Amino acid sequence: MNHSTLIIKANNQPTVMERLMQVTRYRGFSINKLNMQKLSDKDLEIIMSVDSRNPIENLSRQLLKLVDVVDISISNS
Amino acid sequence: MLELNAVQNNTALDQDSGSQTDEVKELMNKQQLTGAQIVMQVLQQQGVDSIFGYPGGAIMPIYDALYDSDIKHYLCRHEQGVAFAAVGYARAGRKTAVCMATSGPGATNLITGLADAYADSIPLVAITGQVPTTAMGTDSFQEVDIISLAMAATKHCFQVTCVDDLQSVLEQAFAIAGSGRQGPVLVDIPKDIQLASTLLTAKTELAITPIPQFSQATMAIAKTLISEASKPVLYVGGGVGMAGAVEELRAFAQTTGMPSVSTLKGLGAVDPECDCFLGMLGMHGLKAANLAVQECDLLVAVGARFDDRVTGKLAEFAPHAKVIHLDIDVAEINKRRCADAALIGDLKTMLPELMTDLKIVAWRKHCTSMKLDYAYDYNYPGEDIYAPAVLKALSDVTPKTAILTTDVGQHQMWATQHMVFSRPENFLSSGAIGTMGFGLPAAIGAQISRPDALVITVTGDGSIMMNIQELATLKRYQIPVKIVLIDNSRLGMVRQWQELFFSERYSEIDLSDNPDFVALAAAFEIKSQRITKKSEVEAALTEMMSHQGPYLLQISIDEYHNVWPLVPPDTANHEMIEASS
Ligand SMILES: Cc1ncc(C[n+]2csc(CCOP(=O)(O)OP(=O)(O)O)c2C)c(N)n1
Repeated sequence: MNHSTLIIKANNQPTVMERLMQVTRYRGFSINKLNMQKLSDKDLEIIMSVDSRNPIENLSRQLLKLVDVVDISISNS
Repeated sequence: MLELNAVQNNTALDQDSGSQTDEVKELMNKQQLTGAQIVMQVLQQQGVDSIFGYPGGAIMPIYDALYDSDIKHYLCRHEQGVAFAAVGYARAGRKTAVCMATSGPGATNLITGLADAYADSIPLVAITGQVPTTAMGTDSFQEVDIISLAMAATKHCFQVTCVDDLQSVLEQAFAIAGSGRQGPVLVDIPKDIQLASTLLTAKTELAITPIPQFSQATMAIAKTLISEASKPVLYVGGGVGMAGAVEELRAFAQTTGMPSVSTLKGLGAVDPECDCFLGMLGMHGLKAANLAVQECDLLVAVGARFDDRVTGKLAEFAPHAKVIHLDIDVAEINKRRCADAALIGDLKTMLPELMTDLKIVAWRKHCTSMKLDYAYDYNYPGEDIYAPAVLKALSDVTPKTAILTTDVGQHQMWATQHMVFSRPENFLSSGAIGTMGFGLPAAIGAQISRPDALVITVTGDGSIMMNIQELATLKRYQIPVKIVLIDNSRLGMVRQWQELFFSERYSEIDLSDNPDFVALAAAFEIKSQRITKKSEVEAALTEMMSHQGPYLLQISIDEYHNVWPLVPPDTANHEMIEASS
């Protein structure tokens, strides 16, 4: 199992959380911890810890393709 | 925002008698449009002249605006037909297509087509009506949460909740659908937004995500890998056609002299006359193609994604090969097979840079002789019609500019094996998700996209029944699509698997009570003919090809014909079965 934490900057759109969850589940990652915070009317920060057998890039690259995801950084703690 | 507009207007009126600022005057000169009219305006600005759709309650204001518009609307007879017609239109014309449906069941009926477009990276904009914003979230009549349903089947979806956002959302939808790795985008528009008024503004400048730039260092590594290879193979995927990089790919294949193989969606990208083009690889790939890949020491994957139908048992796929992977989508890199050099960017610019002279005479000779040695034998004893031979004969009489669509099953695999495709946009088949029911509506869309092209669909007796209602669309618009129905009275591909892998326990594959297809065609005033004997093939093809309007040719074949070769599931590609034991 690989444990990783993703720090995601996203646009504050009504669909964005649902889509993040959908892609995360579909790509075979389980969520251990999740925190979402509105930084401004336009911006969200989502901090998400995930587990998977797959390398984290398999998820982060898919999430980064989402139209409302602006930036992702990964920490392996 | 709606109220804000009204206030601005009042201000304008109040000031009418008095002195007007220039700004207010300009505002007054601008025309107020309804949301529905904005939709038509944006479609026209985007250069859309034909759309596919089906009306209903929650999209009536848009259909009312359509009534005054110059945009040509094609009414299909089911929203799945609508979506596939749009896919065919987009693929044949290499442009973004538009489809529309009403809320609830109309929208859910689009989903299979959207999923198909998403998996095959086809640019679509789907517009759905939605119940009014005031009713949303109350389980009102024909309300379905289409955003949630469409999320996993689209590149992006929008729900417009303010009329002032509508124009920019639609513009973004086109930009997203047509850029990067293309795909479908859904725009859900509540009825009150369609009816509300706003101003059309200048086209907004969108911040388009730039195409990624490949690294020069990786390019140098990739070039070294190529120059060191003695048995390289070019593995060509659908990305080449999507990127408009067919010429660059052909130049690359010619200069390097690399033998090439293709995925289903890549067919047509490599010049089919090239003697080192070995055909499709994978589960029903040609023997020479699969063997060359299993033997190669370098695989150059261009716009391809190592799909399981291509690789067979992944751990044993191209076991001796280093991999150079070229793609626009970084998420494809190392997803199924690790790359020794990954080049992310536009194939049109990367392929010319990667071009290197190679001396691989012996390997080329080996590949061309495998191609000849394992060439298909079309001799088939007896009177019965042999599908591979018919499809080869069809291919021989089909002009290079023609478009072929297929459904899904044995007939589809025979088409890939025995027909020749000169361009990717001339071969439309549901690749990534293999959707039965694709062929006929996709052919309709393709014909509307390219009115001068000959359009043929090769279908099966199971698949055609999945969107048979579209015969009415052929009739209504007199679309001259030629339907070649390979009729084995069975769900043939499933039957083949039951024969081979389920001890001949034939479960629910019998279609021998299908309707009389000739009578059915007649009911739609479509000319047709049924043939059952080899000796009838030539004349039947000639008659079909010379007929001006739509035509259905029903070709009855033996139910026990199988598609060969076949790589059984989870087996290495060189361990193919070549005939029934
Ligand atoms: C919508 C859909 N449902 C089910 C399948 C599974 N499936 C794949 S091939 C096939 C049989 C197709 O039969 P037919 O269209 O008659 O073609 P044939 O294989 O006989 O040439 C089936 C049921 C599918 N691909 N798509």
